[in-house]
Amino acid sequence: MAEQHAHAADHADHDHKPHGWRRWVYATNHKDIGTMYLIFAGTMFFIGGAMAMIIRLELFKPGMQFVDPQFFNSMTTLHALMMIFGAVMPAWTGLANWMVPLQIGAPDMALPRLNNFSFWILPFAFLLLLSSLFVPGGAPAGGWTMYPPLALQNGASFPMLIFSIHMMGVSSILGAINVVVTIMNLRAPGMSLLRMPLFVWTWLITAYLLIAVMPVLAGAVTMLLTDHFFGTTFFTAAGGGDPVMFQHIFWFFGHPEVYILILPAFGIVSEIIPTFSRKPLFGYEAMVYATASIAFLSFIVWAHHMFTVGMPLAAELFFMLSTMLIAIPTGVKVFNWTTTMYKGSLTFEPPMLFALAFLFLFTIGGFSGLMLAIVPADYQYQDTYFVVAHFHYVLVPGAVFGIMAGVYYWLPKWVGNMYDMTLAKWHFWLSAIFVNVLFFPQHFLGLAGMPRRIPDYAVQFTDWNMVSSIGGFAFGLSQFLFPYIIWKCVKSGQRVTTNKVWEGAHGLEWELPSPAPYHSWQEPPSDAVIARGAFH
Amino acid sequence: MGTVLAQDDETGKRKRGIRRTAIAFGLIALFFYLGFIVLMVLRGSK
Repeated sequence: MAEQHAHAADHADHDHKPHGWRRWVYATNHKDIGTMYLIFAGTMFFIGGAMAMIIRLELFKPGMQFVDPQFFNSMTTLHALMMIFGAVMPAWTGLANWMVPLQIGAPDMALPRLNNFSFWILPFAFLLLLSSLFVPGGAPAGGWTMYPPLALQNGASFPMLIFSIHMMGVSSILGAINVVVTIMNLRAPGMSLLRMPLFVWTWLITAYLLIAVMPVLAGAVTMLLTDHFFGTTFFTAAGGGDPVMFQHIFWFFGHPEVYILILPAFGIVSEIIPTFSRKPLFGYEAMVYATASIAFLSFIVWAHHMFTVGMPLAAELFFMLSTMLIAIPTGVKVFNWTTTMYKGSLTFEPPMLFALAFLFLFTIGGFSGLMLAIVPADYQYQDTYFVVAHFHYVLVPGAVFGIMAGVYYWLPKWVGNMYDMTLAKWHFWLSAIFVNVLFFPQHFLGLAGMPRRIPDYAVQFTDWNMVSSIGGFAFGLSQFLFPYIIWKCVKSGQRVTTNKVWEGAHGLEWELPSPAPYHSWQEPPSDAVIARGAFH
Repeated sequence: MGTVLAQDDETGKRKRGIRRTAIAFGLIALFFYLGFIVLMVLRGSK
C-alpha cells in the first residue's frame, strides 16, 4: 500500500502541469476541465438556489410581500434555466470529463481543445443571461419554456435569452460529441461495449440524446428570434403561424432533456449500490437495454406536456400509452437496484445514503409522472403545483442527489483525501428530510388547485405553502455544508492510502493511485487489469 | 522499427476514427438544427 502511495506521489512530481491562470484558461486536461465544470455547476446551483429562496420567501404567506409580480416571474424563469442548463447539465459533463477516460482506460478526452471551448462558452452564456436582470423591462419572465406569444413580449432581454440559449446549446452539443467520440475511439483494448461501467453507458446514451435534441431547441429559439425581429410568423397566428407548433417542437427537445438530466444519475446509482452491497450489479445487460429503451421512448412522448391544448383523441391515447410504457424499463432498473441489495453486505456511507434516497424519492417522482400521464386526470393537474412537485422530485432527489452521490463516491479518488464522514452524513440527513418538507406538500397544493407560476394565492393554500417554504429554507441552508465538506477534504482530509477507496468498488478508476495522477492511462491497462476491474 | 511503424499506423487509424466520428455527429446535430426550421418553412409555404 505504502508503495502504491509513493508511486502516486512520484507521479504527481512528474505531472508537467501548467501553473497559474494558464492551467485553467488553456486547460486541455480532462481532470482540470472536469473540475472547472463542477465548480461552475456548484456556483450556478447556489445562484439558482438563491432565486428559489426568493420564490419561497414570496410564497411564505398570501399577499404580495417582497417582490413585484414581474420580478417573481423572472425568478421562476431564471431559476429553471440556471438549474437545468447551468447546474445539472454542467455537473454531469464535469463528472463525465473526470470519469469517462478513467473508466475506459483512455489518456484523455478525444478532443481536448474542443473540450476547453465547450467549457469556456458557458460562463459567458450565463453572464449574458444574468445580466438581463439589469436591462429595461427586466429579465425574461415568460417561463423557461419560452412559449409564444408571451415570450415574444419580453423587452430588451429577449435577444439576450435567445443568444445565451444558443451558447448553452453549442456547449452541450460539443461536449456530447466529445463524449461519444471518446467512448467510440479511445476505449482500452479489451474494454468492449458490454464491459463498460454503467456510468459510461448512460453517458453515451445521454450524449446521443443531446446531439439529437439540443439542435432542435436551437432551431426553435432561432425561429422565435426571426419572428420577433425579422417579420417571420412561424408561431404568430396573425400571420398564419401556429403558436402550438412551438410547444410541439419545444417538448420534442424538452422531454428527452428530462432524461438527459436523469440518465447519468441512473449510471452513478448503478455503480454505487453494487459497491456498498458488495455484490455485482443484478442484470447488467438488462440495465443497458432499459437505458436505451428509455432514451428511445423519450422521443415519442413529448405531447404529454400539452394535453390540454387540445389534440385528437387518438393522439392523446398514443401519448398517454407511450408515456406509461416508460414505467417498464424504469421498473426494470428499480427492480435490479433492489435485487442487487438483496442479501448483500450493506454499509451506509454517504454515497450509498444518497443513492438509496435517490431510489425511494425518484420513484415517488416517477409515480406522480404516471398520474400526470393519464389524460383525463391531467386536465385536473395541468399547470398546478402538482406538476411542480412531480418534476422537483425527479430533479432534486433524483438528478441532484445523483450528482452528490457521485461526488461523495469519487472525491477521495480525485483528491487523495477522505472527507469528513460525519459532516457528510449530516448533509445527507438534512437534505433528505427537508427536500420532502419542501416538495411533498406541493402535491397537496396542486391537488387542491393552486396554480403554478403565481406570486400570490388564495388563503386556503397558506398552511402548506408555509411548510414548503420552511422546508425550502432549511434545505437551502443545509446545502452550504456540501462545498464546506469538499473544501475541508481538499485542504485537510485524511490521506487515502489505497487505490481502492471503497472495499467493494470495481472499475478501472480504482486501479489507479489516489489521487489519480494528472496524466493517467498513458499506457492502456492490460487485459488482466480490465478483467479485474470489470463491472460484472 | 517494425513496432514503431505499427504504433504509428495504430495512432493514425485512431486519429482518423476520431475525426470521422466527430464529423458524423456534427453533421447529425446540424441536420436536427436545420431540419425543423426547413420543415416549418415548408409547412408555412403550402
